[in-house]
Amino acid sequence: MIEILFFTLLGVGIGCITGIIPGMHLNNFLPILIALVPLIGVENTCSLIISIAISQNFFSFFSSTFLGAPDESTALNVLPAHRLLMEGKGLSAIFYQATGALFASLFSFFLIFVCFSFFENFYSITRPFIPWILILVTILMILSEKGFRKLLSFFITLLSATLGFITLNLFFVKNSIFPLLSGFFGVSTLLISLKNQVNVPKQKLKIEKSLSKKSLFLASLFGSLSGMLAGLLPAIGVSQFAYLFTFHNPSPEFFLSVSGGINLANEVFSLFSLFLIGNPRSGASVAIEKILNHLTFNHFLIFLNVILVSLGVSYFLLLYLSNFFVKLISKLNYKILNLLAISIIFLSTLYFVGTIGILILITSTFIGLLTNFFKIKRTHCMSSLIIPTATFFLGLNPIILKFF
Amino acid sequence: MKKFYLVAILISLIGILTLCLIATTQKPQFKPISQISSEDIGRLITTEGKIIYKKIHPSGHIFLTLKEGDKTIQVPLFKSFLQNSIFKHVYFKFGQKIRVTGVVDEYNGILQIIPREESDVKIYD
Repeated sequence: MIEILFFTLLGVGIGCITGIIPGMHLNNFLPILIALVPLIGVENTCSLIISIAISQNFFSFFSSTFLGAPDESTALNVLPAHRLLMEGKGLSAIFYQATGALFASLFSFFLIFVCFSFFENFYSITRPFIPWILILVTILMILSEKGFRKLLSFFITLLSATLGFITLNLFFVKNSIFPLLSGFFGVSTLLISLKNQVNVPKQKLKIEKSLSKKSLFLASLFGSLSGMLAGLLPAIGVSQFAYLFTFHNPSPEFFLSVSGGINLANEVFSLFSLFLIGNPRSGASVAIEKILNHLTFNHFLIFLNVILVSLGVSYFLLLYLSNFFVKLISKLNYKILNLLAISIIFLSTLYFVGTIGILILITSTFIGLLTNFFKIKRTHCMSSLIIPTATFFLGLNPIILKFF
Repeated sequence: MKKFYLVAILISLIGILTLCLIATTQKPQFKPISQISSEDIGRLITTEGKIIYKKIHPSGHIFLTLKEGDKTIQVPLFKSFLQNSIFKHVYFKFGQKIRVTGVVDEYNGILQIIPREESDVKIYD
């Protein structure tokens, strides 16, 4: 038992590093972790994987908040976390994402146990409607823009969907989704930040709790429900779901609590779906399925505890380290920090994907930049996954492939 | 600023066209069943073997198992694939040799090769 606790804490530590460094993802080094089974045993390896998956999700709030900040003129068009960062409330942005994530995960335990018997039925009933739901989401996202921007967002949707379709059909390239999404949402944001020579304002060292306990409770509940739905609706991103709830409360704090909640609830749901319905829904759960030949109730109890310990430790460690990092960031050269992040993404792409990956990264970066020039939501770029998934469910992929 | 728009649009289009060109010229690699491993998951591969098992799923899918030497691989022919092809379950007979091109995947720990269109499946005899 002590060994499992040790590997859980080690996993939280590794997840802390991989979460902070942009471009690092558990899926990239899962083969290395699976190879550890003969050395450290089945349960310890699974505990390590689960704790990394949980902790990495928490610590990714760090890089998404503190890196790639925009200038004040464009802040409204970009991510709510950056909006708070530019107001000196980076610590609050982390707090709301982490707290939403923690509570949404806890709600997920309850929801999963209540609803798990419906999951399989729900999936088979909704499957014929999935492509139409995906297309509807894309149309709603375009219509959410104002005036001429509707046309521009349609253009971006078209470009992203074409790039996504080609990228996902490059069968000799592995991990091709990594450069695709890193370009749309990572490098393009970092480049804009560099171009505008942003200086991050002095950050407040106290968390401003502007969101009421009731709103935080609701945000976590929404996050938990959406996290489960995101697991059932392939390709729909966290931000699409989170945007739905901004109609209830448009504050960035509420958005961040919901989106943090969706991220973690989705991860917890993915891990549990392996135990409850025998269907792995994430890289980590696929790896665990490969490692465990036979899943027992004892395994289930052990991993439930691993998830709980990882959630608690990651939450407090993140808040503690954020306090330290907020003090550090004002002393660091922000330009160098952003350049370092871009370099890491480029090198990771070259290592994990290869030269074709660089071409995908450059193309998606420029499409991401266009959303900024057009002043439209970057989330239209998610069409790169949504449309190919919809065509796959409609059985149209072989027909579309003939056009290429 | 207008120049930025044009440059960004141009680079995006050039990138898409180049990737499109690469995608259309990609050739599937031939691998005997014995050499296909989980390392190949997600790759487009051509292989061949004899049908040793056939299962017709109530929802319209056909699951074939191909054997070459002492190694096997599953070939799922999904309903969507069958609807867009001439193939019917009676076309596939035990012991028949077939050549399949498809994307390698894994389901419940078993390796599969999933054909995408009619021309991906060739029956020899």
